[in-house]
Amino acid sequence: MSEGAGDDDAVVFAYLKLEGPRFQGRGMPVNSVAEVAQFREAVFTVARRMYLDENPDRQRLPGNFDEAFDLRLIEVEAGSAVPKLLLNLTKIRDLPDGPSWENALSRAVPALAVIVLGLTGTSVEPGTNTVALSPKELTVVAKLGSTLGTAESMVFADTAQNPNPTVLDVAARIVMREAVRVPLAPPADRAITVTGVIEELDGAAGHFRLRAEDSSLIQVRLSPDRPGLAEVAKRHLAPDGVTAPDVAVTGIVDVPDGERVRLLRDVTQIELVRTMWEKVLVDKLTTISELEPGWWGPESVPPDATALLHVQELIPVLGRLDIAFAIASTPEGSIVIEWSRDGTTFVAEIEPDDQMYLYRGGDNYEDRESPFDATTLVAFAESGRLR
Amino acid sequence: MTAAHDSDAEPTQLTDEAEVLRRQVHPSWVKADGTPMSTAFRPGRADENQMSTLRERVPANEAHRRHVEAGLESAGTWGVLVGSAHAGGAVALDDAGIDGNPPDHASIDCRSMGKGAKERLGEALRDEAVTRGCLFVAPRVDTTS
Repeated sequence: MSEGAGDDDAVVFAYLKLEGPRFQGRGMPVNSVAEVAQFREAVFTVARRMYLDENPDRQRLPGNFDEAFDLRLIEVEAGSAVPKLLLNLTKIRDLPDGPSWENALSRAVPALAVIVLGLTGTSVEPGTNTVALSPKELTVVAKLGSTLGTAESMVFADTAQNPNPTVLDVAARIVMREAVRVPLAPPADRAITVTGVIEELDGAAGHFRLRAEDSSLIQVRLSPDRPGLAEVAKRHLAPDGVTAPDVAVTGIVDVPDGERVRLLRDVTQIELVRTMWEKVLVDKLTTISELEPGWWGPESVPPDATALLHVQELIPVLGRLDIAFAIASTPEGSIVIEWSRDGTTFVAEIEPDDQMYLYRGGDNYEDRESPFDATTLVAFAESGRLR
Repeated sequence: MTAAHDSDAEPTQLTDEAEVLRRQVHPSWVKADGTPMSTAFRPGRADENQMSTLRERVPANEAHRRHVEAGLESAGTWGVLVGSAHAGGAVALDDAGIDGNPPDHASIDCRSMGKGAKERLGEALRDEAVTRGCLFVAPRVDTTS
């Protein structure tokens, strides 16, 4: 932030100067105060973007952050329109996460300068970090100097001592507005499909939150033309955010490819990708595949690789049978799949020599040994019958 | 903990049908509901078809401690009734100190049983163990399945 002024709770915030014949007299024309307000809006827009990018768990700026950016015009230095701006820090520091907001504000003016240099076609030093603003946010920046005449300029920097302040003369303003006008054309809506887990459903309002596979959170709005989708979403809801199926949600976004998706609207399709049981079985298979020699005594061996592969290929089918399968390895390296139905225990054991053992329990148990055959095993799981 | 090798001793059949032997269950054999799979109560080639347990005189938590101290994992101690082992066609033997077995060791000998019979025995012993309840639950049990 700029150098401190006398008040411990306020600091001089940025250096701003308006140049031109109109600003030679005492003070500054009343109608040019709008430029100070627009400068404040541009800085706020950049700081807001920086804060949200650095706090990806937040969808919006926390309440009172806008109000806490309390920038005050306390005087105009004699001889030129140099409005002295003080930032009241008290409100910021009283906020939860106030330090993060204060930090973003302290970096916003230099970041704004880099953005403006980029828009005006001025080269910046390689490696200079730049904040990526949306088209809507860029329009706020492009309004800087919009009330100034052709012979007038706006000069700004983080401090008065900065040897290279940013100068927005008429030429730079024209280039900047032309540059912003191109991306301002609304990006074409495009349909995408995102896979994740459904959290926090509001079926009546037709929206839910999707936790995508990259852990980002996306607000999802269902298409009003698909009234049944709310029920589909409800079926696949994760009450604890974990034990739920993976679904593929198809809808419309208006951000370019590669930009982070925050809102998926007009959703027309929710498809089951991976059931909860599939996910549980995959997790378990991963655990037992890591068993090492001797895991259950000196003669015990890790699970057979071929048996593991067979089970891995079976999981997408078994996971959709709505049966609570349990899988484990035996000390001999077989993979055992066990389940029960109506009090009867069923076992399918895939052995290291690519043999398969099927067992239906109870006092009158039945069993069968044969070469491994996935179709037979799945049929046994579905029907409970060996023949 | 080592056991003296006694090449002259012979295992002796347990006769108290009410004795509840101590069986350790590997964490990967515990289902999502916290109960063990029947696999946990069925021997195989790796243990020469003799399921390993400890005598009832060993407290359940002590049985678990000895197992873990030997470098093995266990989700907890479950009970195996001698009478049920016999009823299922197996023989419960005290073979402590024989062929390197630790003190208080007992085997559920299934060497004469076919695969189906062993599977059935495992199922029956598991069902009974579940009814009795886990005798000792190890801290941080892996209950995924």
